[in-house]
Amino acid sequence: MRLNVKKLNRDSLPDWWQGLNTENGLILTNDLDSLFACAVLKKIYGCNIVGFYDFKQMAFCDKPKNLVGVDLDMSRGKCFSNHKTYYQNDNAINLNTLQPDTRYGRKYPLSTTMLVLWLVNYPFCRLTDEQLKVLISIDSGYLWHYGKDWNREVHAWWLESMGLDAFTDMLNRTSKDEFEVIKKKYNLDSTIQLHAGRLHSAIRVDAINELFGFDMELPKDIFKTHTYFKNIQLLTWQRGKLNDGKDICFSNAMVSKDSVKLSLIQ
Amino acid sequence: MKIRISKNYIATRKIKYKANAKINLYAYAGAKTTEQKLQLIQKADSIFKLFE
Repeated sequence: MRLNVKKLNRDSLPDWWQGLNTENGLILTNDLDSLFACAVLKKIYGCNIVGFYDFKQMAFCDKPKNLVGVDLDMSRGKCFSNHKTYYQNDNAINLNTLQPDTRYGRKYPLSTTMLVLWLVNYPFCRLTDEQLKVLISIDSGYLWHYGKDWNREVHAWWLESMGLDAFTDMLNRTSKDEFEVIKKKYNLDSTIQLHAGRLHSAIRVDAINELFGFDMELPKDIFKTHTYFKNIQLLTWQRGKLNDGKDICFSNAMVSKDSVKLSLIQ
Repeated sequence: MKIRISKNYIATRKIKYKANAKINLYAYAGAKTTEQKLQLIQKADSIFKLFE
């Protein structure tokens, strides 16, 4: 079965992101996808990271106001995210909301960074092969290209619908192993952790900055924990009984077609 | 002796279990009494307000 390609329209998403400014504070999550997307938002709109969320705790380094979650699938409130979610959030900038086919296998397969860059019309065609490889390696956005026929077709559908032809050409002449090398070279899969009030990570931020001519950095401020969270994972058939409790569910994401992860405010 | 259970039987049992199961997220989050539940909801509201 061939998927019909229809160009995705930015205007179909909530438009609050166009009004972002220095008054907005960003909530960073625990990986490069969030850090990169925060750096892009800072560069374009001047928003700073004021909080950190790692699914166990949320900590702030500045007075929290006008917050926006970045790579954070919130149940309510403004956020940029890329997972399929259980609870619908009308304020979320999430491309899965534009996908008419709601099955898990048709979900948006790329990163939040790619979503943010796509929103701001980033000129992907000017990037080098190495830059394209790093971008699509964030959140393993290349994986479905090397998956089963159906995954490959869905992946191609998203790239085509978003007008990301530069990635299609690069993927067609790159083996999966080359992405593993890129991931190791820049430590792309490393997480960001909060220890004694400070953020730490083994991601090779300097090397990535050099590659893109960018100025991404982990905040050096002291973070104080504000809220703790409890995480649970439920199977698909159990989800049917979650008729109550959305009001304390901070973030939620479907991590496979059979299960959903919830982070509850404690 | 081999006992055979039809797939339909298993599906029926699953549906019955699904119908009876209740997942109390408030209890998972540590709120056992109504007062604790209300406190938790208020706390959550104040956090979500920061993202409006």
